[in-house]
Amino acid sequence: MRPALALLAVALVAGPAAAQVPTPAARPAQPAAEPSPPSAEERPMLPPVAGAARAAQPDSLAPMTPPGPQQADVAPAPSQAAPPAPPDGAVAQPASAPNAAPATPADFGPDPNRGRLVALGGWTQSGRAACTQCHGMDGLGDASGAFPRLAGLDGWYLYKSLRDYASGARPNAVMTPVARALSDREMQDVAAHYAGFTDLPYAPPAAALDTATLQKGAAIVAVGLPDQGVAACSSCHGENGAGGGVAYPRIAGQSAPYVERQLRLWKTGGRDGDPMNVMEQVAKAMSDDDIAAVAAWLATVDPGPVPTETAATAAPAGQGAAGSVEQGTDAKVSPATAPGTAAPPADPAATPPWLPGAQGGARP
Amino acid sequence: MAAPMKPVDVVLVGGGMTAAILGKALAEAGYKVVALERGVMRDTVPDFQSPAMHDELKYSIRHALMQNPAVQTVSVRNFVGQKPLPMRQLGSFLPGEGVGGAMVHWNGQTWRFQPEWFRMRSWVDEKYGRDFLGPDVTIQNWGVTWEDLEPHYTTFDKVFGIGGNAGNLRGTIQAGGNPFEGPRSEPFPNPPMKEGHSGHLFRQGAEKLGLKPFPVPSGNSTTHYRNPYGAELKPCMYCGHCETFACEHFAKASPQVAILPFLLSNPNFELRTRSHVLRIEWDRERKLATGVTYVDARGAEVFQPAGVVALTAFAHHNPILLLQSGIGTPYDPATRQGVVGRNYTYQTMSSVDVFYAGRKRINPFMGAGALGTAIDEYNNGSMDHSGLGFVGGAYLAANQTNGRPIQHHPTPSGTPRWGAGWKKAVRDHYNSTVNVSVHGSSTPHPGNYIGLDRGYTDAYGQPLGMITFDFPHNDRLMSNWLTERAREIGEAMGGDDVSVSWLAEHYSVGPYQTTHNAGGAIMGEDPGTSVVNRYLQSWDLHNLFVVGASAFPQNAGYNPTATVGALAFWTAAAMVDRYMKSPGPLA
Repeated sequence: MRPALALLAVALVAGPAAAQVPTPAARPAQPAAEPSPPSAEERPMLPPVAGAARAAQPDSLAPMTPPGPQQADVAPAPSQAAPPAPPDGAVAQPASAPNAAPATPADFGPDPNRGRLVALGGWTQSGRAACTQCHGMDGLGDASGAFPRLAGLDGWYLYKSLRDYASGARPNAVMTPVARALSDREMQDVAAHYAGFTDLPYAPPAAALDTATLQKGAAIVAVGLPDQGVAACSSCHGENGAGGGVAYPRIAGQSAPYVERQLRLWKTGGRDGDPMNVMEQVAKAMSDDDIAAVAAWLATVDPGPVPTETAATAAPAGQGAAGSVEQGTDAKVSPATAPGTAAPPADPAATPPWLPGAQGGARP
Repeated sequence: MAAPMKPVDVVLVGGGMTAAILGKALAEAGYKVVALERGVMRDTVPDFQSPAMHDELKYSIRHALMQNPAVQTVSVRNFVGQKPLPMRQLGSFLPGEGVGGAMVHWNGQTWRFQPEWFRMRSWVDEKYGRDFLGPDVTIQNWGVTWEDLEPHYTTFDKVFGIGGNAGNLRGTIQAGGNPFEGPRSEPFPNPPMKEGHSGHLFRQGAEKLGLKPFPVPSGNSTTHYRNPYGAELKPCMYCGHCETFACEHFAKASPQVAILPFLLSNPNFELRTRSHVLRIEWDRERKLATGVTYVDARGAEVFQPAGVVALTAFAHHNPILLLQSGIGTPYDPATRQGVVGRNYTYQTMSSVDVFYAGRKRINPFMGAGALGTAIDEYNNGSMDHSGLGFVGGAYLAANQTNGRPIQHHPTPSGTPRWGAGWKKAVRDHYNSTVNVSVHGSSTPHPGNYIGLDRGYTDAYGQPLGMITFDFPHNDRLMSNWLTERAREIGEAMGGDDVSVSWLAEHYSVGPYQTTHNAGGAIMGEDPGTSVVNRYLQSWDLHNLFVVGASAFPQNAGYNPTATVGALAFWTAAAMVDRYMKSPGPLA
């Protein structure tokens, strides 16, 4: 990665993310009570939503009826047995209040261990959908494009995506009800879980590829289409789409049909939540061929492990969660405290390296 | 002995915004024009491309797009009697160098002055009486009116794709715009920018106080925009690299994007780069300019004869060139006589920071040069100064231009200046701080002027220009009063902490303030108190025009670029319609 861009990327990754997550003082043994009713200005500013996606008005998050116990119309119930019992002493999280005020740094203390349980489909008794059903335990998704890769994406970006699904900015038949069933705390935790998989491999795409399409896509990612007003994807998303920090997710190595569909959604007004509407502007300026080419090429890119300064400077944590994938369970999962232990993780390796605690600073 | 070039109809000294405007009008009217730019050729491709352009160290700190003070700078002092010292590093202001000039690296904030500002002296006398101001507030009338310039402001807006909400459309106040602006003949050609979170929070605070916020008028194109010449601008990507950077995306208004493609292809126009003009040559007998002498890229002195000379260099370079060429009577602060160099003004800046201690997510890196929300209740023409003892005013705005790693680290007062405590504060406050800027007017003072330094010379052996400037009493009163109004809004914005940065005790070239130098070759109706007439034509040599912010008798509480552009279009029209056909004094 070029030095200037690395500096920028690191500043973006280390800066805002770190600013949002203060050194945790006493990590609560059980989730804290949900924050008081939201004030509109607390939530990230969303521009007006186009077309069919204009559900909620940007200035308020109208309270939505919580899905409650009717999980039948949600994505298939987990096929495993009853969801794991919540840890001792846990307070049952209400399934409602998905639209509570977004995490403020004061209470943004994501716990990837709880997140693992959320991903498995249960933190409470409500038996909702398991993320793992579709996205896998480690967030690798599948190459069909139906279930994008989550592994290694920035934690805050994953959290924001869930909020966008819940708020209606990003309507999706499967994800909207899934997201609305999660509390804010659960969204943070499961985001942290998937963000922790920072060095899982990228598989080459299965389909035979046409070099002309790949070249076209690569060129657009690198230099854009100036005559059409398409900025180079790499200007914001980093070199080769490897990621430009919290606001500009990693797009390299993402499944081609998924990327293609997202660009088309922006083009037709079916997806919102992009800051300043920049993605809408970009996608509208791209032809369908341009979109297909970019998506095809990005799927072939292996951007490598998520570059984090903290991984290098993390003190006794070693390689953090990313480097300590163990075979303790069927799925690849970072070594975590067993369910039932509510205490903060004793193993520093279980803390995502991008939390300031992993930088060798104050420990909980 | 300077080798002469073939004579041309018009020679332009400088290759920036005003040169592009004048050059296009004159070349298309059939006249042979040469523009002499001392910097290098630069264009969007290849010079402004990303990711190389997003290099804060190279462009913001080391000023890669700007004038090199080691070659030529100005010397500066606060008062007559102090020894002026050369400004060896750019700080307070950042003049551009290279084709496109400072408009390559500006922010894009595009404001019109209010109507009364063009007849400020008469307005103050009428409204507040002749005794309201002391003799040291040497404001003057410009010789042009709002009605003269309004069509040219509109041309500027269209050529450069300015975006916003009209607040006063042909006399009718419109919601969503600036209710205090002069009446526009047409709406903005582009819609306003998307409001950033800083602007949103400022809006809420301002509305609580009954003020009327509106989007800052923007020269960062908000749509795919085609200007009247056929130039295509692209929508801004909010990349947060506007001021001190060039735009890779064809979004920020600049000569390169809006004018040069149609100018450089015109065989009547020649752009000569790396041509540093030393002086204007003129005939003392006939009182006419004969051309200019410049140093070319090989270091040879060259004489370019021309029928008309137009100075289109950056603000203070214009009067400095006049002084170095011996044209006009230099201003003498002791006697207050003379005109060249008189009424040098700048900008009176202060600000308030509102800290939310992590409770907000501003994402300042999603920024653009002109992304902001403003209120204009406290500008000169908007308010009643009775009992306050000053004239002038300012707009107040929360701008969200950038979150760049080297320079964006707001911290509350009391934060240690270095070390672990500073680093923690930077981390805590980086993403949850809003700045409210007070963009104050600058009134002239008899002690503030431009002269020549008698000691220091530049790399070409010529005396440096010398700027004598400090904030006058009128402006200090104005600034203190306006900054209190900013603090009130800051408190209403609901932050944890509001830090005020008052106007500095003395003007210093160290901290960046604005690149809004003005005056020194001012326009007016009386040759005894101005250098150029209402058409920016020299009173001394009728074939010499001096175009730029040097013409402002006083600088308003707004960014000056649109007014410089409007005056350039106005002057170009006077040259093409009248002067070139029948040379002589136009006023």
